[in-house]
Amino acid sequence: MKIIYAFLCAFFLVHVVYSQGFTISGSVRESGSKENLIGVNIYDKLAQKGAVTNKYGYFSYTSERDSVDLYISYVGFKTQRIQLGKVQDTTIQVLLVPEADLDEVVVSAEVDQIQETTRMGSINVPVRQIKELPALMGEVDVLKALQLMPGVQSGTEGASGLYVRGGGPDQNLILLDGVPVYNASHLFGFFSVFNADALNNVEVIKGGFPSRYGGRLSSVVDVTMREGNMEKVKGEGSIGLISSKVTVEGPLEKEKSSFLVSARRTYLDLLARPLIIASSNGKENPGYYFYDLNGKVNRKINDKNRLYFSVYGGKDKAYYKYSGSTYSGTQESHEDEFGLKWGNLISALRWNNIINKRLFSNYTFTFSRYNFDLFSFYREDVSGNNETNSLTYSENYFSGIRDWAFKADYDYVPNPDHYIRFGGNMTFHKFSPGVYVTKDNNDPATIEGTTALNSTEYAIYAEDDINFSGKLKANLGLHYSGFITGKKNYQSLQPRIAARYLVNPSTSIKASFVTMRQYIHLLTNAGLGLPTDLWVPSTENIRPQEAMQFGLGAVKNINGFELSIEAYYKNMDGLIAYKDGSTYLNVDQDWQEKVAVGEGRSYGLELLIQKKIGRISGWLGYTLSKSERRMDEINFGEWFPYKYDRRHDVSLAITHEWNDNKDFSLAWVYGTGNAISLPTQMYEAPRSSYSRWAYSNEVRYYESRNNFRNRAYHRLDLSFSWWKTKKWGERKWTLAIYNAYNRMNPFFMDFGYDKARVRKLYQYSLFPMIPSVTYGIKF
Amino acid sequence: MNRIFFQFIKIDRLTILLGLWVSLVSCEKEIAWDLPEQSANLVVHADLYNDSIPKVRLTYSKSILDTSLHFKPVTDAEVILSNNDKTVILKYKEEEGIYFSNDIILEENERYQVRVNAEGYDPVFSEVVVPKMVPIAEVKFNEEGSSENNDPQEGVTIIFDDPAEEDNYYVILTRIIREYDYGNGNSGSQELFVYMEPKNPVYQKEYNSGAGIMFNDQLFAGETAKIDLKLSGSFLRGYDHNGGDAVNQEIYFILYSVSESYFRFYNTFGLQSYNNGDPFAQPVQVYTNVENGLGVVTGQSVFSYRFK
Repeated sequence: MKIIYAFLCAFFLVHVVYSQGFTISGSVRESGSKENLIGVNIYDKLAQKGAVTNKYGYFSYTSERDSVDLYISYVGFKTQRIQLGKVQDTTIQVLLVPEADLDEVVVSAEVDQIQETTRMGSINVPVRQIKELPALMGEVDVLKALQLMPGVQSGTEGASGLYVRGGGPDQNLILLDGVPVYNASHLFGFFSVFNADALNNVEVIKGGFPSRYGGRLSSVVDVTMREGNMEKVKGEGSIGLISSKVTVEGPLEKEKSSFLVSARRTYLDLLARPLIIASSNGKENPGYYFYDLNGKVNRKINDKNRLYFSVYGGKDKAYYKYSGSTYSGTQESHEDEFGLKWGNLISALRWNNIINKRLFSNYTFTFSRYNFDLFSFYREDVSGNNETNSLTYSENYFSGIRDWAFKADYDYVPNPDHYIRFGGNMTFHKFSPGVYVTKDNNDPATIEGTTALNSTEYAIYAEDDINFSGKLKANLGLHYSGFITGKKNYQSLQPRIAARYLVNPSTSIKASFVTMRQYIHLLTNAGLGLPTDLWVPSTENIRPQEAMQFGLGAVKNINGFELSIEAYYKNMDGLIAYKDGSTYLNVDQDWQEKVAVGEGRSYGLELLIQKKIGRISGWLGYTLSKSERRMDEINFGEWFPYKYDRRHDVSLAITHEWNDNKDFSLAWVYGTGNAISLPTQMYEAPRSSYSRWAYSNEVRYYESRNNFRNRAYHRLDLSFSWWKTKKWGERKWTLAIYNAYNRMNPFFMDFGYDKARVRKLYQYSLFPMIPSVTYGIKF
Repeated sequence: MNRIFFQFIKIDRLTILLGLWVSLVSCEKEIAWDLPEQSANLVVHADLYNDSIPKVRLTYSKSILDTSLHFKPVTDAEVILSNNDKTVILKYKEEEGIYFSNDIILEENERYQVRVNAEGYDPVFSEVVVPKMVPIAEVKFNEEGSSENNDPQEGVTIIFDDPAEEDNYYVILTRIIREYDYGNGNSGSQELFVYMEPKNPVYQKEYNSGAGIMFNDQLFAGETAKIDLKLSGSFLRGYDHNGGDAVNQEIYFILYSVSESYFRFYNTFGLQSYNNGDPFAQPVQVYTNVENGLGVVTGQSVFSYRFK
């Protein structure tokens, strides 16, 4: 605690030392919709210093001179110049106008150039660019776009889970308007829950984590929703092969408050239902659907206070229904339904308050819920002799997590050489990992499995982005967190350092060191990517996960191209995995008995060449990496490759806007095959006593855990769009081809027999070439 | 109940759901895949019992794609067994498919090395200590009762002293020998093993067939062990519904002191065998203590206690 106290004292000392000059603060918004613009550069040409807007569009800049010459710029918008002389502290509201010249509008992006910032392993992917990338079955996916970045990998084919620098899918802090999303997947992982039409900004951080983030080891994916147009009602929507969506936004009170509602639903179940029912004489009805709904309301109370309320709700359901009837003296009818459903509910109430010209605060109350339910229901009615007897029986296996959280965040900008952030948060978790309930109409419900676990997570942090000189800049911070579970109170102090040295105006060298701690775990099954994975807390027996990561890199900005190279080494401890032979549906056994705890290590080199502006934009990324795990109870305590260890990973994304109303994009990915466990040989068991302990006399021989490599994964996606402006707005057609050269990528491997009864190993794939067409409108 | 439900869920419903999922995307394709060529490994199995001659079984492993029913024995290898005092070369006995030697009697608390030289292979090596025999001090008959299915059960406690300062591993079996007189000078005998269940769930393994229990001394290291068991049937009371015609019946409780290699091999192999076919179960690597080869060399000392 003394360290934290000393650290905070040092921060506030900064204010005492640099409290001279005058301060210009305010916000920067888009002139039409009045949406916040995140990452706008405010540069004082006289002092050759500046500021950047935060994620609420707010900035504060203090000058030690008596006048300023501010250039406010953001790629895709006209730069504004504001000159102020001999002024006192002042607040300004800046509205930036979109640039008419398409050469500059093609990609909007953060303007603080890559070589200037201290951030490492951080990528900001503009939503507009995400929407231009080719989509699977016409459905744009945010997480899939992030998977095209070096160091960010996909899991199995089609899945939208993220595996960042050798970490697991649970090690990503995925935030939607600041609220953690526990399962960001729809359709068993093929799509993410993020509807791109409702989003403002997406940022992913893989290393060099600022202190304000905590609770996960491997990445932060910070997704910010749009707020809604303050000026007039606008809308957009699209009709695709499997889903449609619509977004409407507008003012509730002009320039004071706005709303945004966005909804999406798949309708494969509705389209297929008549055919299935007809083919089964009305007895069978299988189906699947998902929907989600985003909503946001914001209210500007006055120039210093603003309230936001955002909500997300989404659900997936896969089901199979069967009904039938028989007559044998009595009429017997029965209905049978079983399936799987899961969903998230996320809500956040936020209050932005400008306390003074240099201090900005943000208070957030959140509630989130994630649950899945494997359900089965049976009903039987027997009619005869003027009476009907009914029997109902249901079984459910469900798991869930509920969070109630409060956080307070402060941005303090004493002068252009310091940007201090501090704050704290507290979250109450309620875990229900693997509960089994049976019920019939004669007996009360019986409940088995793990009982609910309550825990409290808390954290405080402080960080300062310090400009030591024109060349050396560093972000120094501390993150202190704790987790109360049962009688145990885990605590951790995590130092974070990231620095950059500007070699010349276009080149810098960067280094970072971070430690992270994670108090919750995801128990994953054999890798099928089902939502039945269990979120579980650290307990008195299962310790938290920890990581330490070093990064070293260099960046160069040259003729509109950003080049970066980054090496990293990450050590992880407290990782959990199912022990050999464990099967996750066995509720007789507590989950803590089924897991092994161990360590991991991952290291690699990432290269990225990115072009953000111009008619042709995109990036080429390459990652060379290795990721391993070691657990005493797995692989006889020896190191083994992580399932998603991928030696080579290449991604190429290009968008070309060759005309005022046409664009073309492509994405190509290549990755070394995943590591899986596969027996390669069999041998005879001891004859004398095998039957006492085993059901077979054949031993399957696995050389090691994850001993076998799948074939390499590669795929090319293409997309072509053209649009036309109409009186009422704009309409857009998009043709896309997923997996253009029809590569059969591995989904899973299994042994089987061919027609001649010869045993073979088969690779199963999911997606061949899939063309799609989408019709969209904007008004 | 839930076990039945989940067996049902596992086998049928989740499979259907997965099938639904795959059919939804309706693009499942399968490609036959050639496994990389691998030469067969030498597989050594030897159970070295105290007061017995050594027997070693030597076979080749086969490809996972090989569906032949048998494993090819290695008949022309040089198999050497040694301890500090003696080295013997084992001979191949074709009718049993094993290597053996009558020139040595294995002793408890003695370390033995098994070395195999076979053409085309690096020397294969393993070693094991035949554990010290641990006598059963007492078997107590506790209670009568019945199982969930109303089948008769009997409770016993098996008491023995665990040797201190070493990790010990045990197997308990209950063996019954019956003699029958069919009249007219015809008689016969029958040997059977009684299904047993430990009362302490720590000793219960889900894959255990019930013909024996296997455990280590973690809960009673160096102390007197009291293992409570439930036996199926009414054998200890001198009768059961299947053995009414027997003229004589002998009941033995057998305590095997087994090597760590036995314990680890059968724990992993049992689990692998039990989970075979479950798509949601993690793979199980089976333990081996054979260098440059596969299989297991175990040591066992046997003590038999006759219940009266």
